[in-house]
Amino acid sequence: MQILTEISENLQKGKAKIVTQLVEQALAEGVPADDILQVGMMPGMDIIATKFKNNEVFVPEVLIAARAMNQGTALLKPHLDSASSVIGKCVLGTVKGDLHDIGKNLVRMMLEGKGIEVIDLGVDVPAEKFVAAIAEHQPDCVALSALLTTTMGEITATIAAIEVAGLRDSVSILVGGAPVTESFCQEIGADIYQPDAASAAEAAKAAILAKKAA
Amino acid sequence: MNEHYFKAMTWDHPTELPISLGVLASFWFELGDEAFYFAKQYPEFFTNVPKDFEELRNRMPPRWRKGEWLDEWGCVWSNEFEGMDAYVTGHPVKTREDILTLQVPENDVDNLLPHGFMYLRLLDLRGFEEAMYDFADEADELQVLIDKVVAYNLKQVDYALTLPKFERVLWLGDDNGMQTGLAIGADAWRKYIKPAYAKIYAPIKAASRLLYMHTDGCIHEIMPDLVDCGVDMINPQFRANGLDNLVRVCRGKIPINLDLDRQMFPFATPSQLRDHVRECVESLWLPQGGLGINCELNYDIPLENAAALLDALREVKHYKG
Repeated sequence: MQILTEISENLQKGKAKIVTQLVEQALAEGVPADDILQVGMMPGMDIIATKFKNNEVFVPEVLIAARAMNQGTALLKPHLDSASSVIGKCVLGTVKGDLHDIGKNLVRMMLEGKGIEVIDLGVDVPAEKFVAAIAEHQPDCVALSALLTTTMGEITATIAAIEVAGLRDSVSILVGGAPVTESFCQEIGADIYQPDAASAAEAAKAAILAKKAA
Repeated sequence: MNEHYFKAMTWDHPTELPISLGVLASFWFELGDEAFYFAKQYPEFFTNVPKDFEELRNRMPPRWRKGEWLDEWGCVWSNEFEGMDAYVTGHPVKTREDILTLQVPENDVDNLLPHGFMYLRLLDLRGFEEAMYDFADEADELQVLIDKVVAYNLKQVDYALTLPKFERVLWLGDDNGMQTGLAIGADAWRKYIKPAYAKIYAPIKAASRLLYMHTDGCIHEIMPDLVDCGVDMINPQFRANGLDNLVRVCRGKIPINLDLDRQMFPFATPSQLRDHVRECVESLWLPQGGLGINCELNYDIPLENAAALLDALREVKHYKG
C-alpha cells in the first residue's frame, strides 16, 4: 500500500510532521492501525537500525527517526490493540555507581523501534531497584548497562540479586557497554551480549519471540 | 612530557620508545599504602607520586571530587566516586533560543582547556539528545553555539600560550568517538567540528608549539583530519579503534601515543597483558618515531596485572625492531 511505504520512507528521514500527517490520513482512509505500525513504521525503523549498525546513518538520524516513530505511535495508540502492538517488555538501566546514559538511551530507542515496551529506570540504578521493577512489571528481558570497568561488578551483583529474588528464570538478561565483552557475559551468567544498540534490540526481540513461542 | 616524546612527535628518531603512565587519583585513594609501595618499584614510570592524600586532593581538578560541581558554563558535573572523572548531569542550554542568549564565560584560568573543551562542550551544554537533534536538523543555532565555544577556547588558548608549562607543547583532550564510530558521522563532524578545531589550533601552530590531543572512542576515520587541524600527536584508544585500523591509518603517517586497552586491565591475565604490550609495539613501532605508549591505571586493576604491564613496558622501552 503506497501510503504505508510513504510512512516508512518519511520515518527513515525523520520527517515527524509528514509522518503524523500520513498516519492521520491512513487512519481516515480506514487503514488498520496495526498495519500502519507493523507494515509502515516498524519496517522503517528496522531499516534505520540496520543502517546505524552498518555506519550508514548516525545517532542524529536515529534520533529523528525515533522521534517520528514516537509521534506516529502516539496517534495510533487509541486505535491499537495493545496486545498486538507490543511484542514484549524490557526493564532497562545503567547500574549503580554509573551515571552514563547515552548508550542506554540508544538501546531504549532501538528496543522501542522493535515494538518492545521499555521501562527505563535511568542511571545509577541499584540492584534492588531492578529486582523491584522485574517483580512489578514482569518484563521478558532486563538490559543492564555499564560504561566503566569499575561498575561492571554491579552488573554481576544485579544478576545475583535477581537470582536471589527467584526471578532469574523469568527474564532474559542483556548486558552491554563499552568495557563489556562476550566472555564477561558468559562468565557472569547473563544471556545476551551485543556490541551495539541495534544488535542488542534485535537480540532482545529474538529472545522475546523465542520465549513466546516456547 | 620528555625528550623522547618530542622526537616521536616529530619523527626525529627517539632513542627510546616514549612511555607515559596515567594514574587516576582513585588508584591512590583505594589502594593506599599498597599503591605507594607499588610505585616505588617503578620509579621511572611513577615520576609524580603525591606526598599524601591531602596533596593528591589539592592536585585534583574539582570535577574529580565526589559530589556536584558547577563549571564556568553552568554545566553541573556529578561524581559518584572520589578521584575519578565526573559526568555532566545538568545541561544549562535547554532550548535553541537559549543558545542565542548564552553568554560566553569570562576566562577561567584555573580550568584552562579542560577535557571536553569543544565537541563534548556542545553536548554538555545542550545534553546529548538535544545536541544530536541540533546536528540532525542542521539548526542555525548549532553554528552559533559552536562559535561561542570557539570564542571562549581561543581566549583560553591565548592565555595558555603565555604559560611556561606550554612552552613546547599544548596537550588537549576531547572525546570525539563512541565505541564503534562517531556519533554524528564523519560528514557532519567535518562540517561542524573540524573547522572549530582548526580555528582553536591556528594560534597554537602560529606560535610554533606542538599539539598533543587525546580523544577517546572510535576516531580512526578522522585522525588525518585532526592532523589537518594542526595536531602533532593523537592519543587514541586501542580497543575502540582496533589495532589493524591504527596500523593502517597511523603507522609511518600520524604520530600516536597509544592508549593500551585499559578496559582489559582488570580482567586479563598478566601474560595476556604482556602479550598486549608486545603486540602493540611490534605492530606500530618505527625507528623514526611516531609512537608512544600510554598506560592508565585505575584502582580496579589487580596489582599483579599492573606489574605485568609495567614490566612489559620496561622491556619494550628499548625495542629496536
